[in-house]
Amino acid sequence: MKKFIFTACIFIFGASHIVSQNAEHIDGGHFLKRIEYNGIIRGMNTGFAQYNLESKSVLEKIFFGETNSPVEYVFRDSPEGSNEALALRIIGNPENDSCRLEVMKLEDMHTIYKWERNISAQTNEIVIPHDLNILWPDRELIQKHNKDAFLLRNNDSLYQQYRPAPKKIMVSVAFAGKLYSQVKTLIDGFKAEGIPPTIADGYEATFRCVVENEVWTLTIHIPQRKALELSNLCRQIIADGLNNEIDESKYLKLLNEIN
Amino acid sequence: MVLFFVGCQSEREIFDDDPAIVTSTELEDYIIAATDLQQSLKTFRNELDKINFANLETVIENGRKVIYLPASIRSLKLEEKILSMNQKKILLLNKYPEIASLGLENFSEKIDDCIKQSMRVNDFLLEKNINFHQPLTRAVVGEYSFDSINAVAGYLYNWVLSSDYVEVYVVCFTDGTYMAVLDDQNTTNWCTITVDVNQTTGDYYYQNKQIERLAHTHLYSYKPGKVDNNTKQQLPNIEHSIYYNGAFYPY
Repeated sequence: MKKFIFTACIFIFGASHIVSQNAEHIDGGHFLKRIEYNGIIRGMNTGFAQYNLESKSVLEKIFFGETNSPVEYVFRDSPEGSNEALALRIIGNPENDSCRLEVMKLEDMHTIYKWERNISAQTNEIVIPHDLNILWPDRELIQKHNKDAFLLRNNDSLYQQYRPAPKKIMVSVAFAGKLYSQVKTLIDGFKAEGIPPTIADGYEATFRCVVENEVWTLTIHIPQRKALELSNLCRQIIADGLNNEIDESKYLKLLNEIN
Repeated sequence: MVLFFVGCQSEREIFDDDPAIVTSTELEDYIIAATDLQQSLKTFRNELDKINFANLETVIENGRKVIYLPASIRSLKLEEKILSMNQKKILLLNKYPEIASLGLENFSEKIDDCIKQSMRVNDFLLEKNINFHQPLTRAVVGEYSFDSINAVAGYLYNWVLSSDYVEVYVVCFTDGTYMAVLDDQNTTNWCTITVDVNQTTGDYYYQNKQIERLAHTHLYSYKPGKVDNNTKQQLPNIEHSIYYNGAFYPY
């Protein structure tokens, strides 16, 4: 019996040690992994009349508009870093079995913060306690604001004015498929361990993919390990795309090396 | 020409198919010239931040209005150093044209190997106070205590000018002492600290000492980034500030 308990303790201790080594993100920055429906209103013909954009930040709506593409990536740095935001997405065209890569860049994070504040001010509801003594005209103003905010929240015209013109590049299905596969695997297998420390500045990477009727999103502040490798590769693709230097064979090699 | 990294570390043995390049005086000259320029550019950036351009004097020379930058910048002689580096680069490429077809990683390895075996380059790096043998993103890891705001400000003033600079957190304790925390994960773009919370009182602690204020360093601006504002929301019971250009800016 004693031998059994001793062995069980060794196994439990060893097993937990082994399990912890599988974690992708250990005592790292904050992250959010989110899985939800991709569409929220059915279209009359095919597809969705309205995509589920709840997982998207103001910046992501500026970049991507009203749709969820098969693969999306956003890099958001601080003013103390590269002071820019980058985005990448892959759009498929089933009619002729081709894929299009779009890359975008915005500079000066303090300007982007201003845009986000302006948009949030128009789309966030004001909620006040019932017993707060507010004059009726002010209540009417708040009600009107909230009604407008509800309608504006997913209205692309609010975000379109800030959207940079994307660089569009046709890419092979093989490359698009491999990138999609790695993003999906990353999000699916992402596990964290520990407690996040307090981190100043730094950058955030967001990965998103559509899996059947679901949209999967993973946002990480200061990614580690596989997420870091994939984020670095996506940044390289964006930099190369903006410079018209896309090299699919290089990316495929790197994608195959990410485990 | 490929980028040049100072202080890249590698644990591999020095094993080169062509040791002639690694031991050449041309590569040594190029490394010395590039390092000199790199350090001067860092100083240039820091000195430029201090200038109030409205206070600079305008003189008329040969019918043109000229504004001279302060001596602290003119003495860097950046044009000469850029010219020198380019000349050394050309000499290096003329003698070893195969370098032009090396990838970034391979060229970086040759630079690492040259630095490791060259007394001349190492003497120059030490003169510039660059310790090549320390890891790149872990300049001097540790916790540095100070008993006054002036002492910590003096430390930070020199730290941001250092070639080993990474962002640091500065903790002000309720007992009036300060501590600068260099974590081995810190980089020039972000820094980290682990703070404990007393769940009963809501007070924050670092190494069992109660925190009154928390600051971190910035190189480019006193303004907080979005992450900085988020951190403030996560730790709402203390003051937060940014150390920038000689002063602490609460936010």
